[in-house]
Amino acid sequence: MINGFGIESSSYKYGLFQSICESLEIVTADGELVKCSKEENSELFYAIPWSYGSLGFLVCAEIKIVPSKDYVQLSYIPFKSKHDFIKRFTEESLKPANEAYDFIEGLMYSEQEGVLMLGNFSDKVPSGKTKNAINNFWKPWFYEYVRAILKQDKEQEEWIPLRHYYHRHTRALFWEMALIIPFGNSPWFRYLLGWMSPPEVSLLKLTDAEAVHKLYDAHHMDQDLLLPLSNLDKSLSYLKQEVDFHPLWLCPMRVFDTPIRGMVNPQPNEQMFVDVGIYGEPNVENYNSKQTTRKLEAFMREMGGFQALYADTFQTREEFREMFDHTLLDKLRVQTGATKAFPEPFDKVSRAART
Amino acid sequence: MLNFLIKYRGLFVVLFLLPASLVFKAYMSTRNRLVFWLNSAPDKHDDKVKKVQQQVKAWQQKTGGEIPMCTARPSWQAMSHKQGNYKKTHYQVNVNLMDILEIDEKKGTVRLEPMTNMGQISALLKP
Repeated sequence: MINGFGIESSSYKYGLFQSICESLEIVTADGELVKCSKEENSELFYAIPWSYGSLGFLVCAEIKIVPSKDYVQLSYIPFKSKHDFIKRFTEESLKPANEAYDFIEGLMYSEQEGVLMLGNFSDKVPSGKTKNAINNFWKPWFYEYVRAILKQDKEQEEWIPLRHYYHRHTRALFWEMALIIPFGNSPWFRYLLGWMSPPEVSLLKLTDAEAVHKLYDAHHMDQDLLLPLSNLDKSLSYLKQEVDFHPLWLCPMRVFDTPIRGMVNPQPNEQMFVDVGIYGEPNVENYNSKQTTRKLEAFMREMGGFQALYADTFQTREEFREMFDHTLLDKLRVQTGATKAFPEPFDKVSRAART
Repeated sequence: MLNFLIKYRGLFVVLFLLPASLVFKAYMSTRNRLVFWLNSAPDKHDDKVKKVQQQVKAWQQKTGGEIPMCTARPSWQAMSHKQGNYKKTHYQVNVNLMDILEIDEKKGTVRLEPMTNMGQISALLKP
């Protein structure tokens, strides 16, 4: 999450996971242990995020703790119009920190319909209000629970224990678990076997047959598109046309205007982005993972956006360098002797370098 | 075909992977609790970092710096669905760092090793 990227529904306030790092320690190509922070070796500090280990081995991180409370008071606001949804989503994301919610997240269930979730830390559940421990094993998967709220079309509010909130998408892996255990959200399964769920993702990957791997490669899309908030409407229309998959995860995120610019280096006045998460099987006819992904990548570059790199990237080296600013990284790779010692990010993440 | 495979996979996951995951998670959470309770990670951390440094220095001697390095962490433990081809060809360095080291309440920070996961952090900071 530091060498790559990590995001949460409070990222519009605090930025990506790497933005709350106070200091980092890496072992460089010559075997030295180097500590860096905003004050000390600051160029290295700003070069590490998104560098994918191309500067050295990260061995320690000091991370800011955000003071929390026992519950998240969460409002679910259903929308039947994309326009209204985006308007409110944008308003809430751009509020100054002292007026803003602690958490913002959206789920789009069709082109026009979605639920906006706004949360605040809360000490306790006031009397007469609802507490909901959403991750108890017999509870429905979170995204299905939210979908039901959309169907009722009525704003709701409840208090969620903090750790349940943070891990709300863990049991259903957003919505990917529906493909892994198709009956995983049915009541009989939840009550009988839900207590064993979810399966460990690393073990899933370890045991996946080649056939499943190929099926996923051909029919499945996992992408997080980090796009400027100001273009959200256009972006959603484009995704409907090229991918046509729902639910979509919408999570606002701030890219801070740092004194030294690293790999993610947007236009000076674009600080607020949205992570649009696509995790599933596109419904467009003749979906081709390479062609479609390449189209999305061109769209991201055109919009001044960025691609999450755990996902497949079919960009060429030149396109990749256009999306991610390598100026600082290249300079530091030379300075620290990393050029021959570690592959550059493209040679680790591009689809050509992965099977 | 697609449906069959996915159905079959669901059964396999339920019959084998769920129990295996349960054991794995129980083991990891006990291990993590024990490590934090014994407070052994901070002492071991410096040694583990030295071992990484030694491996990097050995790499220079062994390969003349010609074959690039990567961590020895297998792809199935990483986030991406895909396997990095470089894992097969590059010089592997063991970076076995997965523990929370200390909490500094005054400063409001937590110091941790890079492979610590969010579940470990949230469990510790919000018991």
